[in-house]
Parts: sequence; C-alpha cells; structure tokens
Amino acid sequence: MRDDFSSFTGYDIARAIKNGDCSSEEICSFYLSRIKNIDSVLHSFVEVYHEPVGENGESSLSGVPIAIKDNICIEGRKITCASKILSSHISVYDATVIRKLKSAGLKIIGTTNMDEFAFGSSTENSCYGPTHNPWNTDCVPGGSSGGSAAAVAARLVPFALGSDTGGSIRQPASFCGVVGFKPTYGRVSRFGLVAFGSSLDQIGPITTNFVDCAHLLNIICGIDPYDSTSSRRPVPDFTRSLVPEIRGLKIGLPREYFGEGLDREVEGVLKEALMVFEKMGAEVYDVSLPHTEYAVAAYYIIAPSEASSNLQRFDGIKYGLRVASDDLLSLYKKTRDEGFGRESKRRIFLGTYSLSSGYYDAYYLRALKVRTLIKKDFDEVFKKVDVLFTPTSPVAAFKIGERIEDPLSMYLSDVYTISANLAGVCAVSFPCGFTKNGLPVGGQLIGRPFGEEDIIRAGFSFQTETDHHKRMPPLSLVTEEQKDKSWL
Amino acid sequence: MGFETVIGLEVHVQLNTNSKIFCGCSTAFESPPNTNICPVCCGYPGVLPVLNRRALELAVRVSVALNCRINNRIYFERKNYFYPDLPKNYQISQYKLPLGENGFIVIPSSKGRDKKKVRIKRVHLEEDAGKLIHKKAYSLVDFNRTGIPLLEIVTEPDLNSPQEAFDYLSLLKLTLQYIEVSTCDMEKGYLRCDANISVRREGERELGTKIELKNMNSFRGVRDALAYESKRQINMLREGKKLHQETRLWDEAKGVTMVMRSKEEAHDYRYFPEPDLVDFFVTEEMIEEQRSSIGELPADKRRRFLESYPFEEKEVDILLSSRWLSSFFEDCLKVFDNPRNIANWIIGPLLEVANEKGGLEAAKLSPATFAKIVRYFVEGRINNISAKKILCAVFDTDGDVDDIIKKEGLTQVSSEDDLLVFVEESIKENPRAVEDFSHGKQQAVMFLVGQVMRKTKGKANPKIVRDMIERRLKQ
Amino acid sequence: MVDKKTVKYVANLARIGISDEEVEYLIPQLSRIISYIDKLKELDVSDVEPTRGATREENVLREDRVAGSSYRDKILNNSPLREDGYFKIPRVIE
Repeated sequence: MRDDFSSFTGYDIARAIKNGDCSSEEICSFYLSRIKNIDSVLHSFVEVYHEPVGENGESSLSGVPIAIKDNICIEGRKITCASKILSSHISVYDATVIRKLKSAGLKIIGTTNMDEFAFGSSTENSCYGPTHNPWNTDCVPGGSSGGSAAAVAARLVPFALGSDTGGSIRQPASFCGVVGFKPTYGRVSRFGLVAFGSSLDQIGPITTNFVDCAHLLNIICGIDPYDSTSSRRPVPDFTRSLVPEIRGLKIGLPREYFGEGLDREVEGVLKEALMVFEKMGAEVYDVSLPHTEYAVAAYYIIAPSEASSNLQRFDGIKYGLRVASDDLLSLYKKTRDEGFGRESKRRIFLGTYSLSSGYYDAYYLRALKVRTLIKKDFDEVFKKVDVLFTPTSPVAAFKIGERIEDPLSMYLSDVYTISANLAGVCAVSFPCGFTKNGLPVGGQLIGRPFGEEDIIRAGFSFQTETDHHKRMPPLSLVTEEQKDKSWL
Repeated sequence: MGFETVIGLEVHVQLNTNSKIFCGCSTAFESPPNTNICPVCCGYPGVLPVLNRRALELAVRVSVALNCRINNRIYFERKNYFYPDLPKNYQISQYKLPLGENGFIVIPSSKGRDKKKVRIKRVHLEEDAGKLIHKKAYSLVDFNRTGIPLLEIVTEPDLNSPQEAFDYLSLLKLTLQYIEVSTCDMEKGYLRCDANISVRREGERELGTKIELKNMNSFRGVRDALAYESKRQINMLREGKKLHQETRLWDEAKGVTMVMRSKEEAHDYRYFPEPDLVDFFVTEEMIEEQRSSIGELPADKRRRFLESYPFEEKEVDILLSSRWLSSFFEDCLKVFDNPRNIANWIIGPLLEVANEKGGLEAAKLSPATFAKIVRYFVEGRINNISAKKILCAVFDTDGDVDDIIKKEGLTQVSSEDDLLVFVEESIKENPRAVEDFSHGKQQAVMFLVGQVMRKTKGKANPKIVRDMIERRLKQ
Repeated sequence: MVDKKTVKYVANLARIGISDEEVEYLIPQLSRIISYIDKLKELDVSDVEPTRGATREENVLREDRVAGSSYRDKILNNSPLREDGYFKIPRVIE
C-alpha cells in the first residue's frame, strides 16, 4: 500500500518530505489515523493533538511527527504526569527540549501515558489506567515511559521522548522492542521536565532504530542557561557515529549483571547478541562493578527523597487539583490524599522518612556515599573497556497486575538500569531478540560519561547485522476493522 | 542575686538586586499583587533555579564586611516545610555550609559604654517567601516577594541587654547601607529581625531556657520586646517558675509578648542538598573585588572622625548616619577646610532643608556648592538668613551660588555708611524700645536689630547693626 | 521497624491525609522496603565523600537582569481560587 509509512524510520520520512514524495500533513494524518484505529487497544496516548503542534523549523527531521511523555511541558497544553493532582493543569511555558523540537520543525502529535510522576516500571500507576504492550496486550509495556515505548513499537508515531530516572526509558524500550536512550546526566536540559529525582532525571529519545536516535539526540542535546546542571561540553554530531565499524571496540561484561535473578531466556538472547558484536571484531572482557548489589537500595533512598521534596509543590493552591476545606492543613491533606495515587504516596512516604530528622545520616547521607562508590566502579571499569553490555531487565514483559501489589519486587527489577543514573553515565536499551513467546528482549549498552558516540556506534553496528528492530508487533493486537484493511 | 540576659539576633535582609535570586522577575517594591511572577518563582512543575550573580557577590561583600571566614565552595540546600507563602513548599537556603562563618562586628564605645565585640555565627544566602494578607474569613497570597534574595545574618548569643541589641542592629544596618547591599528599610520589610533571649543567674555557665521572639517591626520594637521579655523571664525565675522553650510574638500595641507555638510542634525541615543547583566557587578574585568595593566601614570612620575632628560623639554619629552624608562632609572639606563650620551647617541647616524637601536622597547639591555657601557665610559675604535662602534654592538644583546672590541682591551690607539710615529710622520709629533699653532691657537691642534686618530684606550684617545700635543708644 | 506512629508522623510531614486502613496497608510494604534498603549499613562508608549531584568546574550564574514577565494572567488562571489578583486560600492562623 502506497500510503503505509509504518515501516519508514523517522529519518526516511524526513527525506521523503524533503524530496517532495509526501507532505508533513500526509504523514501526520497517517499516524493520527493509526492512533485512532489502534490506540483504543494499547492506550499509549494521554492526549492526541489532531492539529499537531510545531513550527516551520529546518533540521534533518523536520516535518516528522513525535510524541511526548506527559511529564514534559508544552506551552498551552495539558501537562498531567498521569496524576489526578495535575489533571487540569495547562503548562504556561515550553520545556527546553520542546523549544528545540519546535525549532527543528518536528510535529508533536500528542502526549503519552506513564506511571504517575514516573514512579514505576509498568505504566500501571497512571490515573488514566494502564498501557498495554503491543507484543502481548496482556502484558505491561514497562515503565515509566511505557506510553512512549508502546506507541513507537506499534508505529503509532515514528519516535517519542521519554524520561529516565532509574531506567524509565530503557526498561520499557526493552519490553516493547525499541531503542531507548538515556543520555549522560547534563547532556539534555531538564528545564520543563517535571522533576522526579532531580539528580538522576534525563530526557531521552525512544526510537525504532539508532539512526533516528542519533538525529534526535543532535536536536535535543546541549547546554541550557535555564538548567544549571546542563553541561557546557560541546555536543558532537552523533550521526557521525552511524558507522558499522566496531573492530577493536572493548566491550565489558560486568559479572554482577549476569548472576542470580536473570531469566534464562533473556540470558540466552544476550549471549547470541554478544556473538554479533564479537563477529564484527569487538573485544569482550569480563569486568566487575562490585557495588552493584547496593545500587537499588541507594536509589530507593535518593530518588524518593528528592521526589518527596519535588512533589511538595502540589498543594492545591497555585494550580491543579484542590479539595476544598475550611482550614489550610486539611486542604493540603485532602488534596494530596485524593490527588496522588498509591505508588506516589509510597514514594513520598519513603523519601520523607529517609530525610526526616534522625534518619538523614543513616539513609540519605549514606546513600550519597554509596553513590560515590558506584560512580567509582564505573570510573575504574571504563579505564579498561569502552562500553559495557548488559541485560536491560532481568525479565521480559510481565503480565498486567502481576507485580502491582509487591512494590519491592517491582523495585528490584530495576537492578540493571539504576546504576547508570546513579553514576550519571549514558546508556541505551536496544532490541536483541525475542523470547519463545514472542516478547522482545533488550540489551543495554552503557557508555562513559559523555561517551554517547561509543554506544551509538556499537548499537548502529549491531542493527546493520540484525533485524530484530525491524520486526513489528503481531497482527493479533489490531482491531477487526484494521485487519480488513490489512495495512501491515 | 542578679540575673544576666543573653541575646542572639537573627537578621534577614533583602539584597538590592534588580532581579530575583533564581529567576528574572523584578524585585520592585509595591507592584500590584502577583505581577512580578513567573513559572520559576511560582514553583511551577518542571522549572529550575539559576543563581543571580549579583546576589552571590553582594552576599560575599557582606561576609567580608562582617569579617567572616568565607567558604570557597558552597552549595544550597532545601528547607522543606509547607506554607502557602512558599510556592515550592521548600525554601532554597543554605544549611551545613553557609557562605560566611565566624565573623564579628565591633560596636564602638559611646556614651560612656565600652566597645563590644559581637560574634557573627553565620551569613547565608536564601530566597524570600511571599506575602500573606489576612482577611476575616480567608487569606490571600502574593508571590511578588517570593524569590527576592535574602541574606540571613546570625549572631552568637553575645548581646547582654536590649540596648546592646539595639546598638548592634543600628551598626549592622549602617554597615549594610554603607556597603550598598540593601536599603535596610524595616518598614518595607527589607530588614527583619528575630531574637533569641534567655536569662540566667549571674555566674552560671549554662545558658537559660531559650525563647524565640518574632514580630518586631522596628529596632525600637526589638529593644522593647527584649526588655519586656527579659523582665518577664527574670520574674518567672524569681517566683521559682520554670520556663519553656517556645516562640513568642511581640504585640506592639499592648507592649507584651505572647506564645506563638511551643517546641513540641518543632519543625522537621528535612534539609538536603539542592540537586537543581551545582556547587558555587567563591574565588579569591571575587572576594577581593568585593573587598575593594567596600571602602571605609562606619565603625572605622567613626573612630577616625573622632580622632581628626573636634566633634562630639553625637555630632559624629549624625555625620555618619549615611554613607552619602559622611562622604559629602569630607568632600566639602576638600573645597573649604573648615570642619567646624561645615559640620554645623550640615547638622543644622542642611538637614533641616533636606527634611522639608523629602530627604537627603533628593539632594542634587554638590559638596563644592555647599562649601561655597558656608565659606561666604564665614567670610561675612552673606549672612545667615541669605545663606539659608541660597541653600534652599540650590538643594535640588545645585545652581550657581554667585548667580543667586547677584540676582537676589543677597550680598551682605556691612558698611556703616550704608546701614546708618536704617538704624536711625528704626530708632525713630520705636521710641518704646529705646525707653526699654534705658531701663536696662537688653532684648530691646535685638528687637531693633530685627527691624533693621527687615528693612534691608535680611541683607544687613547683623553683628555690625547690633554694634551700631548699642553705640547709638548709649550715646 | 516501621510502626503506625512513624507512618502517621511521616504522612503529616508530607501533608497527606491517609485513613487508618491505608496506614495498615502501608506498614508491611514500607517495612519490607526499608529493611531492604538497610542493606546499605553493611558498607563502611566512613571515608567516602558523598556525591551530591552534578559537578561543574565553573560557576553557573545568570546576570542580574530583569526579564519582562507576561505570566501573571496565565498563572492566575491556573489557580483553583483567586481574588483581585491574589491566590485565595483558607484563613491562615498564625
């Protein structure tokens, strides 16, 4: 079918528009109708912009539609973080990344579902209800950027932005079979990203492939005078790393990431993927990140502590939900009780507890020190190797509802992604294969701080030798009506 | 047995920057409610703070002026508590590592009191909160003030009387004004002061139960509240009662302090390092730059004035009451080196005129012009009345003194030949005064001098006129 | 471990009003999480410097310039309750 762009990459589309083969409007209406036909099953979008938001900017991706996680501010549009407490809030300003996307000529076609305030690994903690995994709609898409990952996997949009505090881009990318990139802390401005763990948060692209990933990174990276923590380090042209050449690249396999808890099938997929790297001439080394086992504990002190403070601003006075009351204290308490979901409350309590008097030294301060140790582990290992290769998640996508009542086991499933945030390094999850049930399995490449080019080159090389990333979710997910049109 | 009062003060002072500490909103006073606001200072989701360079520099300047040890690497922390004037429900402040520590300021000796060294515990930078307006049934919030840079200056408990606290505040304010970091206008809330006060029996080493005092709106209020509180606490102890650690509010109208909250509900601020800001480096260059902008501090200037000029303490204190005035005084001396007369004319007529004309800030008068008026007076070229008239005319114009004298014909008439006709007329027209004089009433002479002054439109030299009248009447 | 009193204390600090049932529901969950994070106590970190967050070699400062603000109406319009250009709240008792 002539008008089916679903197998196009974002970059392909941009070139098609540039060549006059199609218009941005045609492309947008193609994806909007896909959303209309398919998203009732997936529930990956929170809001769809039937009039895409954008400006006439020039870039290698101009005219291409993009979806935005619902925790990144777009001026004049609802920003909810999938929380009842913000349900009617309109942003009065653009996040820096949104400014950049607009001036690069991209077209924003909607906002995507997420775990409330990015608290979660399944996109079940959303006030809008869960998003479903396109590969098996009984399964979660991962989280917290599950809406973005599911939408990209189902080709409801060529790519999307997500945010990653402890794996929230990479883990859903892994569960949905797409590429999810968490840049080095400071690479992308956080201005306009509703903060979760301010010292850990990064915005990053979710794409089907590394070409789009590199082009998007070129657009969104760079210093921002509105973000004191953004880096002044010059941004290279990441598309120059799109070369299928990794001879001599030193890949480290941290032994702590291949031990107990790792699903056999996932491990098998990764072993095969490793052989692809080796075949292309990469050198593989066994390495160690000795403090890995403390990462989850340190993370679940630092991130909730920062979050508990960041979320204090939601109080019913300036914006968002307000549950009326005669006195201020009960206004606060009722608003925040009704406005926040269960997981948000759990994290707020956990963070408030860790910071409260008498516990600060035992928890928060200690966690910051452990963070130093974890960072040093990475410094050491990157003296020996260029990149690390690990699983993204110990398991493939699990069933909706399966873990929701067991927060600790949910937290523990972040074990492979958390360290990159604590250390501030860059990392990407990309499709490495499938389980026998047809669920995608992601592998993770971790690079040095500001070593994005290494992991892009490695990932791109992998994708020139494999086509896991070209596989699309099976037909079973689409509606009867869609089947008749047989667009796949 | 006697009691000793122990006082520590916590002063908050707004730094006079153009924009707020973490965003570009204006700091203008008395703007309509919620006009100087933006997503950043309103705590909107997704915003981030970026520190104002000027705020940091002014804070460094204060730390230098207060002889603090300056930490070369500082960071901010979040102080978490819910209050509607605090949009983020945390305040970006400093906690573990303040900008300045271990400073001091010396209150000079005066009025027979010894000089006193007051140690400064810490100086730290933070953001101001908004304003609440209380109505009968509800409250209103204005965020204009939210995010104005605020400096917290905390003393050690070194002050031992309400008067000492008053003197410390006066000197601190003067110092901050001299170094041009704040206008310190307490009425506008640019300077606020809380106090900690305890009493103990003389000779005791342990500090007594600490009471925190709030809601004082002037230095006098601070002094009165402390005096009240000190007396109250001593009475309690005398009666064998126990004091509880608590916060009390000063009620200016009733002249009493009242309990605000007791320590049981103490806050748990959950301080932690502000992850949205990076560490700041206070370099030697920055410190030196601020040090060189400070100039002579008021305490030093006071000592020098007392040593170099034949003035009384009271006079010196008036001359030092603002940086502008003290440099005006010394600039005048460069033109006309007569400290006594310059000082007299500043303390007297100049301040009088300034009062009438809306304060010294309104003055356009240059030291050269002012010195010229005083010199002309001392040289007898103009008299007292004309000098004041000229001063009035040039105060807000800095016009040409000689022009005014010429135009208004203010040159003093000192020639007896020219004055004789007026003297004779006055005597002829006032036989009663002449008679009074013959009965020994000396005031009659002054009356007659006044008549001559009126006839000459104030231009006559009153000394010579008086001389002439006395000689004439004694004939 | 975590008891009712602690959960209520923390809930009050966080200004979240929760029911007794919710407290009971949260106690075992928080207890499990906290006993897990207690794992950090195994490590000797006495000589380790804490990592506070991003580090930069130079100061990150903005110049003291006023940026014109046009947000007043938009921001006030977002507030649940307002009056005469103010945010309106229940009476605050000092």
